[in-house]
Amino acid sequence: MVLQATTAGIVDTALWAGVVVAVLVLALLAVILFLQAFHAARAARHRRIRDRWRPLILSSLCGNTESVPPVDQRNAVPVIRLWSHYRKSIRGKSANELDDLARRAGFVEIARGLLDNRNIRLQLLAIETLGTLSDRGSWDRLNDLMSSSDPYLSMAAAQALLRIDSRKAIRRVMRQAGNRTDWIPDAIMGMLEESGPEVVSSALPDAIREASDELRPTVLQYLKTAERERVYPALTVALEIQPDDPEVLAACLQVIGDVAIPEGLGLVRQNSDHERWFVRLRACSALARIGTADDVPAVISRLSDSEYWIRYRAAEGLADMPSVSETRLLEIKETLADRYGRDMLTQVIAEKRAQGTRADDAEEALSREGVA
Amino acid sequence: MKELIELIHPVEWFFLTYFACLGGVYLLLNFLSVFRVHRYMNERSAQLVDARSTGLQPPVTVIVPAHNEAETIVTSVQSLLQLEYGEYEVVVVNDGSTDVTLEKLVRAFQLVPFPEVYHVQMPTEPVRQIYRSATHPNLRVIDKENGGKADALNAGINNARYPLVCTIDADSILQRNSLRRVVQPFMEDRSTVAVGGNVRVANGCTVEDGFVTDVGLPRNPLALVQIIEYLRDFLFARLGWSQLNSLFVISGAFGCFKRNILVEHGGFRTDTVGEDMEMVVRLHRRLRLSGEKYRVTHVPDPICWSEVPEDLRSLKNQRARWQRGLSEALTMNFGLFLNRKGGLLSWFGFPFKVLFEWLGPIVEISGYAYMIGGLVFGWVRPEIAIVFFAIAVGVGTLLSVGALLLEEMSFRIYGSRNEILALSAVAVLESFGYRQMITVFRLVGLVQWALSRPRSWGETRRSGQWQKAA
Repeated sequence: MVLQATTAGIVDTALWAGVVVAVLVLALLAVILFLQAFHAARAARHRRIRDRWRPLILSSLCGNTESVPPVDQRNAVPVIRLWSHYRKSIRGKSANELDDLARRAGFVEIARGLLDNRNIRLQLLAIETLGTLSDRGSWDRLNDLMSSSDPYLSMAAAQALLRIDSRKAIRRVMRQAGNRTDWIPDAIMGMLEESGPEVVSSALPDAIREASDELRPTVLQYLKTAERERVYPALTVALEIQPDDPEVLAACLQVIGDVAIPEGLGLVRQNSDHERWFVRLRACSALARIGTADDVPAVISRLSDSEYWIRYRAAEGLADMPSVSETRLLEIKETLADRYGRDMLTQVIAEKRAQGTRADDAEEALSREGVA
Repeated sequence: MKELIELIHPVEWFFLTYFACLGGVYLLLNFLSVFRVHRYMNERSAQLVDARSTGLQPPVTVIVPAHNEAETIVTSVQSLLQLEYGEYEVVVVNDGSTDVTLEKLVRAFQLVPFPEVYHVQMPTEPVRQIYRSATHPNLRVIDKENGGKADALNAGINNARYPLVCTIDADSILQRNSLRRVVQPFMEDRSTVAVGGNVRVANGCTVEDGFVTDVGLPRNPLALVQIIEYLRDFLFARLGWSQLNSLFVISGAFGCFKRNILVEHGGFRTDTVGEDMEMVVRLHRRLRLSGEKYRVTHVPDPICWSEVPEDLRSLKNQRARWQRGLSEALTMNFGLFLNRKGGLLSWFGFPFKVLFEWLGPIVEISGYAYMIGGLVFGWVRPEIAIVFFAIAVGVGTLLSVGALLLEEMSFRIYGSRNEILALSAVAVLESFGYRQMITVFRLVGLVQWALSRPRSWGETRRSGQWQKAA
């Protein structure tokens, strides 16, 4: 009897659960239809807003400064997004005209108001707008946001600060870049390129010193955006701090090769037969890039390396060295005892020829069109 | 009789509990996926400096295994060569095609034989020739003896130059920004080893020059219902698993891996029909049990479109194959089951897969048969049957409608009122027959695996109509 009573209770509960599920399904369907109607209405409203503001924006690009209608709070976001869309793709005088339009329309005040919005997307829009308009009044707030635990908010704030005053912001941005593992290196690189080599060079030695051991190799890559003559001294800072770290060494060698720093040749030569393969790889690439005729034998020796990728880079590098002609490459190939090295040279020689054919074809096409 | 009824009760409770747990876990996964989608939509808004030319965006090798794809291969490759990404290459692997796949490629892209070194990091069927394009320096074609999809992928990996490899199907339709989206997780978190791209249903869409230009609903009812199925099972459920770092599969239609990880762990197995799932489960097993920090994740953006079966036979073959693939992946990596080093994956994810997806068809069909038979022959009380169907069908409907709601809150691919109405109706009706039919197909696959039928993909009819027109 107890069993029957318990069973009946459970069955009743389960039946009610079934009813609840059915009600939930109907409720969700209603929400779906409501959302669809809401989004359709919002899309129509945004289209109307864009149709009103697009001619204004386009005419301001041509310097026609008409009076700017007030932007009410409800329509502010789509207007700012539209403005931002055009602003991203232009530079120079037209950009200044657009910025002027934005200031007259009150974008700065609206964006400042959005900085504390709970919606991250609106915060990001606000940060981007204030950075583009170089609003110094938001400096402190943006500085706080750079310490946000959200990596996208903090990176966006860093970008905005660099746009407002790159010299003032660069040290703090670089300190963050050297210690935050959640910042995307590619995005930082883009920001530094935008800031310019002079600004970057002023901050990088300290940034390398203050970076965490884990991120120091990444920070070293940012040297590619610095002034060329300041690169090697900055590299030596890293090597003094972590002289035995193969990751740091490989990063240094990569920068030396990519930026073509002749002062680094000694370091490259020293490490061309390093025990770690990725260090040898970077050294080999760098040697091929900045090496002299005296370094050709060292690069040739890498054709017999145990690592496939080093053999490939060595072959590519040899083919790119000014002192090595195609005839010389063929001679090297004939005299090479290592079969794998010979195969690799065969491939690279064919690649060079193919590149040459494409370049000739392109030149011929240009000459036919009367461009060359 | 009374004793018999009391004996039957445990059976009823077993089926009720089973379906309740199944539905409950999927509801949890959908709930978790909401957070992931919300965060993702926020990150997408971040208009950071376009990183295409900074040199730190990792270059990618896109590998396209092709077997008898003459109808569509040229258009597919043409669209791949137009992706918006800094540095990437396309490697097509002609896996012993018996039609004119290679000839069409040679003609369309001016391929010439190239003395390229074939770097054997994993054994494959013999490579006959490597070709390079005279017009597209970032296109190569490997012509090899037939060895199956996994073997073709391994050949592509052997030949890949770049640190990330994307594996796609020859008939996958990517978007111009697909590579950027799928690479993003690798840049955000260095421990990421594999990323799945979200696959959507291409049927009913307009495709021009290999890209989807207009999204639409298919007229074919089977394809239509698969839209809801893909939303529920392949998008939001996978996002939920991804939040728990327990994602079990990265679709062969579009996935991205670190090349060195694939090579270190032996590449794709050639003795399974589910090489995509087996690879991911194996990565989980090896990396987790060795204590390495890693992440396998899923990008919720619709970045890959694929044609789904529109006839029952093709659908049956596909789902039976998936079930065989699941069976093989789980049994080949059973060391992950309840392993003390395996964490949540071993103690929740893997047991769930075993109990509810691998053995699920047996239990589910038994449950339906028992309840329906019980109603007819009187050994099941009507109220128990109502509860059972409320759970089995009701929770399934709730999940489908919930997935449609999440889609409407996030990507809104299907924007018109009529499309939403149609999908809403399908979301409700899906659990009344279609899901049960799929369960039967899965059971077929399970039986095939158990009887160790020869591993083949079976016939899947693809129309590829839009690709022909291009």
